[in-house]
Amino acid sequence: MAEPMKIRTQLSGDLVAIKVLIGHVMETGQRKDPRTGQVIPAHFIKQLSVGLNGKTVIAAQWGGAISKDPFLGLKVKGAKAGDKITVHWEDSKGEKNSAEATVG
Amino acid sequence: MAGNHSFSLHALALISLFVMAAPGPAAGAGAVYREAYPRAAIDPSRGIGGAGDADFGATLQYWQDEKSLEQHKQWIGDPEHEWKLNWKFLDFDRTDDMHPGYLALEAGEKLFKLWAKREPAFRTCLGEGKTDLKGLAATYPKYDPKLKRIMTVEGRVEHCAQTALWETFKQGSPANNQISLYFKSLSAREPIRVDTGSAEIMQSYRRGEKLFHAKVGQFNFSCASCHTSSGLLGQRFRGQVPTTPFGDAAHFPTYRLALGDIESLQQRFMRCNLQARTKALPPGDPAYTDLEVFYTVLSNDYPVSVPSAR
Amino acid sequence: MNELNELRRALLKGGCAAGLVAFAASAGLLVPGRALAAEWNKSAFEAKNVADVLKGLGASGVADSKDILIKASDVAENGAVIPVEVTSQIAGTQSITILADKNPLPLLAMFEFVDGAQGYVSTRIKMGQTSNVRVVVKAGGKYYSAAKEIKVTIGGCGG
Repeated sequence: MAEPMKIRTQLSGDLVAIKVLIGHVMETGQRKDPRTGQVIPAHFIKQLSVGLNGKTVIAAQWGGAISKDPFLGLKVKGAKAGDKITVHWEDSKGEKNSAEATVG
Repeated sequence: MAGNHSFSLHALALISLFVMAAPGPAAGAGAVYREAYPRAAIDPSRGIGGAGDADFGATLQYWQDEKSLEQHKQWIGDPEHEWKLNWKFLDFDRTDDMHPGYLALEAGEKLFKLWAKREPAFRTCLGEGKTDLKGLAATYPKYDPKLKRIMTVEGRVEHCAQTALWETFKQGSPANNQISLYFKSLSAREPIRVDTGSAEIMQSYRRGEKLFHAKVGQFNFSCASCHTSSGLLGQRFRGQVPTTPFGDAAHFPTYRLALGDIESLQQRFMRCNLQARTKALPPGDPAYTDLEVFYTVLSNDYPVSVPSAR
Repeated sequence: MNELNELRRALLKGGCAAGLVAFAASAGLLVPGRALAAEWNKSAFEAKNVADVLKGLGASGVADSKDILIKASDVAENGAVIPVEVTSQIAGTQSITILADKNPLPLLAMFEFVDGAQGYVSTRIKMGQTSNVRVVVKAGGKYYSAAKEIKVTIGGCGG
């Protein structure tokens, strides 16, 4: 779980644009290793949530067809400078990661 | 993705048909095999200022700075006009999107700091004696009088890894690309300043210019076949629009959506060569270095724009 | 309103799962805000065609809508990384679901919005071949959809 995660926020009025970049292989489970011919086992983020000051505002479920190193852009109303944005994900192998950013 | 190979072959077949059908110079006896594409007179001292040149699309006014890009923002996503922005709206800081180029940059920073801590000579080698690397990468490619050859950022990283670390960070390898990206990012926003006053650089520039216009390979393509307005500049080609080479070198190494990875300018040349069915050279080859000098001189005065995505 | 309450309950349930709390504590971060949605919708994500996905989502009577904007290039150089931006201008958008009709598993992602989250998603998706990208929006308990074709090629020259 050393995979990096980056969150960037941009506030205009009370609308905060949130950009999230997650380092993750996002294996679909349908690809074969070209050298061995073996199917590469699925390993992808299944669930992700975005919280504003501790309250979940977006809850997502993903399949394996979100690109490797996923990017996510979202918008949330009712935010102000200093608010906390948290992003949490959990993948198909049960690995988890969280990150937090301050709206600035 | 096996299904896509048939498409790609099909597309190649179409292109070869198109090339054969195009009225070319009579290939009679005495015809020069490697005819040059019409040469555009470029003044290397003008850097991107030369992008106003008619043969290079005359698009400079739309992408030369933040203001011009802002004024033509409505073209983004419009296939008719988007190419005129020369993809500069995708550059560092202009799009607030985050792309995995940032992850590669982070990896490069970690890798560099790890090695520089273990062996401080790595830093001073990259810094040519100095420990502060800020702004240095903007002056590349440059002639190194001690080594008596032209060094690119990637070439310097490879050289310093060899001499200071006894490690092989071959040009085009992930480690080299990541460290080069980090090294270049220390010059982000700095205007590119390749020394056009250097005789060695100008000789290399002239060789690169010749390569840019030389037709090679099975399709008999030159860089100029696509990237000048007497070529395909601004026209649809394989679903995309070739743009002017001015300002292009500024955003490499770049994250390529097409690859899902970062690649250096010279790896881009390789891929270009392969797609035009020409034998590709290895990154670091003197011919590619000349081409990189040519391309980077055309980007003189344009800010280093890494990390970026294309 | 009912759906919203359901979602809230589901979120609360997720947030109170013991494992999550333990993890949150160990990470030393704020506990709330990390609540996950209800169970991962296995039947929808493993469905092999659009009709079965919609069934799995419980979406019926899906109406076409011009108020769903899909921004993506017409031609993708690499099916593995296709930027897609979706904006739903339908009032009270509760969820945005993204599908690629001809993918082996058409359902790509599902986003549920509460409390101020706007009906907007920008992400990058994988597509196995040229096909429609379909967006299904749930608003006020009704389902709306829009589609855009993206041609998938490989080895374009751009850059």
